[in-house]
Amino acid sequence: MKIFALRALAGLAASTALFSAAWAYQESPMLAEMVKAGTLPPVEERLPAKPSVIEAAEVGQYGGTWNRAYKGPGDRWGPTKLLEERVVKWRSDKDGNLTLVPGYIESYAVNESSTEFTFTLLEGLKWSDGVPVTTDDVAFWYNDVFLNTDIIPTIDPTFAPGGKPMELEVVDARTFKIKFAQPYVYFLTILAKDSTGEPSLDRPSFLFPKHYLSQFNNHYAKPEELEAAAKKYGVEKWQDLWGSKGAATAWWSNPDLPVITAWKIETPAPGDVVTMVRNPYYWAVDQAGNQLPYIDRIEHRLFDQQDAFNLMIAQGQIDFQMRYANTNDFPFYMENAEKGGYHVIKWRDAQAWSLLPNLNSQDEFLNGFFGNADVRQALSLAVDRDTVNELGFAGLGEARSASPVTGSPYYNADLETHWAAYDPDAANALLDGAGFTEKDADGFRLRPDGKRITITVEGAEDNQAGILQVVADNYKDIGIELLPRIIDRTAWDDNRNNNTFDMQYYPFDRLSVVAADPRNMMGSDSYANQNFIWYSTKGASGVEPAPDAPIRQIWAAWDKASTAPTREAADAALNEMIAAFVNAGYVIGLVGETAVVGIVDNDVKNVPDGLINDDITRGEGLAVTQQIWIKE
Amino acid sequence: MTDTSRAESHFTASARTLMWRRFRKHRLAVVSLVFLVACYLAALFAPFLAPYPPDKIEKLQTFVPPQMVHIWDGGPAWPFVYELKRTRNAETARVTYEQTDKKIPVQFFVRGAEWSVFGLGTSDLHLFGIEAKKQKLNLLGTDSLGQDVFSRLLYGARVTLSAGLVGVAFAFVLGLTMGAISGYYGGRVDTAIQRLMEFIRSVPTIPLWMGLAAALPIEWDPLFVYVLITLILALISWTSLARVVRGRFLSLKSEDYVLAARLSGASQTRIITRHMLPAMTSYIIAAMTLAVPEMILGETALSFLGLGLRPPVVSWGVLLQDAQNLRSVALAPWLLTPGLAVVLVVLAFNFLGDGLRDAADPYGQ
Amino acid sequence: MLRIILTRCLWAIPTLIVVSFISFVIIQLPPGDYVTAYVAELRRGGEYLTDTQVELMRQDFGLRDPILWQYARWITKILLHGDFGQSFHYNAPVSSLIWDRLGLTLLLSTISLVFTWGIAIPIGVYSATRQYSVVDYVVTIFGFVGKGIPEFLLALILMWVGFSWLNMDVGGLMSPEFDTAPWSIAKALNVLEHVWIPIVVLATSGAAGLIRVMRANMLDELGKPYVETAYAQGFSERQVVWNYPVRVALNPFISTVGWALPALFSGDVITAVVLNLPTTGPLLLQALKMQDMYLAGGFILILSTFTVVGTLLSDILLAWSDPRVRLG
Repeated sequence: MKIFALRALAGLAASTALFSAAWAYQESPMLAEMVKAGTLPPVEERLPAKPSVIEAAEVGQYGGTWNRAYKGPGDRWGPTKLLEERVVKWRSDKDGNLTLVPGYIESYAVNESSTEFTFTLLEGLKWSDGVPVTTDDVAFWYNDVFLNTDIIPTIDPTFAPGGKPMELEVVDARTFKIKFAQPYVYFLTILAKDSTGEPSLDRPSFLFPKHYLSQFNNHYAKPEELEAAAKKYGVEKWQDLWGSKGAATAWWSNPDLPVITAWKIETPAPGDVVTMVRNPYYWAVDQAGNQLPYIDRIEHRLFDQQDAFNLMIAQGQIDFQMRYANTNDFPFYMENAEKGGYHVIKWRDAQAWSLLPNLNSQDEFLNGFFGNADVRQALSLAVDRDTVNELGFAGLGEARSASPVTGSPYYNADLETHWAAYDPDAANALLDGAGFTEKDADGFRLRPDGKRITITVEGAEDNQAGILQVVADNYKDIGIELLPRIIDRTAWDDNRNNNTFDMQYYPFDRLSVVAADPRNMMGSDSYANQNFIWYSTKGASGVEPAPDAPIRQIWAAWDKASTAPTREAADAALNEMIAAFVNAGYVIGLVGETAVVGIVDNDVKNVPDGLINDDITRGEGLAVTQQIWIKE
Repeated sequence: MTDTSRAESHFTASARTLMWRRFRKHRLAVVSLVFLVACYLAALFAPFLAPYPPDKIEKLQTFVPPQMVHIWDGGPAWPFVYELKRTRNAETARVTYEQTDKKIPVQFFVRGAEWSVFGLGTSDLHLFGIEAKKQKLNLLGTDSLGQDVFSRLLYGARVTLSAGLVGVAFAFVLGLTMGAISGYYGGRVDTAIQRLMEFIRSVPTIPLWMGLAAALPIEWDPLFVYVLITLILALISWTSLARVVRGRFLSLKSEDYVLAARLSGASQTRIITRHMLPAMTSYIIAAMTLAVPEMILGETALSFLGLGLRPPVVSWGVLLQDAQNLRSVALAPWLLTPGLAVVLVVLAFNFLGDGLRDAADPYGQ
Repeated sequence: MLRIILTRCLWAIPTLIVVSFISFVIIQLPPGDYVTAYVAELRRGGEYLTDTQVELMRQDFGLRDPILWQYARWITKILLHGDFGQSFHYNAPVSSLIWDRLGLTLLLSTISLVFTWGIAIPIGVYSATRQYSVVDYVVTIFGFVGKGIPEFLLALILMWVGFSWLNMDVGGLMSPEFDTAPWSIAKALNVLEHVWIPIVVLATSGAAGLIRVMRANMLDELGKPYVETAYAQGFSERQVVWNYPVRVALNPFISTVGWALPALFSGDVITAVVLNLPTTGPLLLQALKMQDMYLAGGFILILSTFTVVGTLLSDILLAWSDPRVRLG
């Protein structure tokens, strides 16, 4: 058994020595008042015996309200990523290298064959209502939620590799083991992104507050009690209390729910302002022994339209936010920075804006056309990516393919530039070579049936019209007619679902720690959704790809990676998968690693600059929000 | 011509001649007529008048502010513009342009991009332009893709002043007819038409548009889709006019002159079109001139729902969509010029309407 | 008259039934349904649902039932229990969602309506009596500028001018620091400082059209012989104009005034969206885009009812204001 070093604890040991004479914890004045009034126990009793230490970039001051904006009840991910907790989370160093650090656990261990994972909770860890967190809560999560088919009808394959759900073994009040039937080297990576999955990844991994939630669980409560609870929360059946947006079990909608996050919801949506307030029992301190977080309250103002948000920014009403700040509006933000009293930071987006040809197109011609590797290469070489970058992203991106981004453990410089050069002559030659030599009077190439080769490309946002126009211009030079269409977002999603599109303009994301979620590279909800369905249902439905299709190599490589016994073997297979994906050129990456602009008020401190922005690393969560503070 | 013969010709002139004479006196109406004719001609000859194609993307000439054509250089001079130097602010990424001392003469009848002469052949002649490397003459500046706003405005007029008005005309014919029938006949006909109108007004339009947008094949020409949608829009918007016409007719039909016309055996169509409708000419003209901008701007409103005209089609509504964001308002206000064009055209239509009304008014001086 | 009103009220019932059913169908016209939108939303957040789960959810929401059955279930609940159902998206009762935003919506749209009429009618009358005067031209040009600039753009320009030149706090209903504060004089003043932009925007586009219409109606009337007669009898201009032609000229206006009722309820959607106002309009737009069936349906049912009631009101007003009008 190899034990991973716990950097946070090592730091704690060092600082304990420093503070050994008078080790005392400090707390926010807001909480100190409550302690004084007798409504809250003192900070030493609230913190774990050995709290986690989060190294703040600079030891900060307590207090203040962090102002942000949100887009409505469906927009819970912005707020969620600021505070969600997992057993392990990604942390980025100054150079952008990613490491996994433990969260509310004291230690974790993995056995040699990567089939058994042992976790030990912090001693004295408490829910936000002061009740201790124990393995009882873990057992509750496992037996009464995870395996409860009334709540989770089917278990996500991610947590049941090889079809067998993970197993739980409780060792003592703080320690538990998770076992798999086969090696699962990427389990920790997946935990850091997905937590423990259903009912939603905004819940902590392995824990649900049993003392509170058993009243909503059919293993504990009587049907009439469940019915009454459903009525109380205004939902139709008790199952609606659970689920992703569960009225009683989602932190986002229920202020009474005990949590272990740094803040908890105070006024939920729908309202003009959603507010979150600090959790007095939060289990981490900074290097000076100050209980975190520094900031007392977070407020999210509702907006709907980009300009409304941009105006909030220009007026200095946003303290720190990257979500919804538009790269293309960067000059606007900069021009108003002085007036608004903020500065702009730039993170790197782990995605490539791409053209997504539909490899499963129901149009027989396009199906064969996109299936031809030479055609895909021609379509890729024909795009002048620098112009797209300049006009569509204010020059703040990078011409590149859809492949892992700089800073990713799977980054590969050769793959990054694969078919990404601008070479219309070569593209024309490739198309000629593929047999599309007949042209009509306007210079467009013809299909074998004499019709013009026309591809409709769909975008979902207004500001993409210009970019698609540039690409259409480029494609005209190689005799392909591209018809740009901007359509409603739901229709755009729906077209991918129903396999009714030729090509889409699509943010191909999750290009940092690919192991955590390689689904889109395998075709899911992307270039070959029907093929992916065939693969994931083992041939029960969907469309079978051609016997020699490169997508089979991609799947085979992933099958190898996901069952490999060691990290090294798994990563080798994963790199193989990525190379197969990029070399097949299924997705035509245009511009990636675009700057994600973040607005930071000049009084807001400890916000890191230049990190990776990815769903896998939990977006703004990578900034370690607990240690951000506001200068008076 | 002597006074008597003039007076004589006045008395013997046909109604049409009289109208034309009265119309000519309305100076603003004449100016408006000339302006509108000019607009339509400009739209017709847009490829010749516009120095550049409307969709020519220039990577290095984005957000160029409007360029001044100078005709005074210490004394009268051949029209010229100053060369611009592009700089990109490394910090804010904003592109700005500075005038250099170098003068570039404006030339007339220059060769440029080819255009099709009404399907008869091609020409590459343009009314004006400049000959310089990496420089263009942008009278009204350029947009985020470096496209020439002046050229786009001219090309946009083609769509806006034709396709955009089809719907207005359609709504009008429908509104006048249905309103007149409903008000004139009353009773059951009225009830039926009123219920129909209530029903149409109650139909939720937003999901209707969204459904249509999805139902229409996506590869259809957006211009065709747009005309189709304006026609459908007209199927809804006629109700307002019809309500008003009906209301007026309900009160007019008991007027003496209507009764007189009826007693003297005039046909119902004649009573409606020659006697009753003229009593509300001003209103009809006003409603029509108000409907024109509504239809032009309707495009921009529809674009919210993923409908209406979209690039690459060029129309004034599309150009205005480009301008509808804070970045444009704050950093590139010249993108708002299409709004000005809309206002001018509508004003012209309005004054023309006023002039026509005055000319047609038999009580007029 | 009473008989007519009664018949009309009876007529309203079948009209509403047909309208509500057609609306219910139209709401579902766009491709996909709420579950599609929801699944896509989850996927963007990194959550994946299996096909079985998606299917279960559709059955749960009753989206797999025939549309007639769905409609019957919905309308029965409304008629028998006054229950407008549950919003999928907000996971909350439809009635409380609408109710929360109704007060402000009505307040804002009423103020701007009164403002619009208060300005437009006198100016329209003045403009007609002084046809082709300088004032008339100025008003005309102002009117078409108001009509020629999209409300959306006008709102943006006003906000930008307010922010960058007048150093005002713009957007939303109040500054963020007052959002969670209790009502006070300072808060009320702050709201006033914000509320002028929506009122100006709404009143400009509304007034511009109304001035033109009022002016035109007056012109149609002023040339009539009875006006000459009135002048000849020695009445002052004010008496003549306001007692006779104005009353007649209001006829077209009264014909459609009832339709202001549904507009009051929904407010102006686009203006509210760009100005970030917590009115009902953006809620409706969101509901339609997310295909949140019951929320959208409830909304549209209320709007339709108001349209029908508004038409009736207009007709009554029409008959009352102009004795020559005979209904029925």
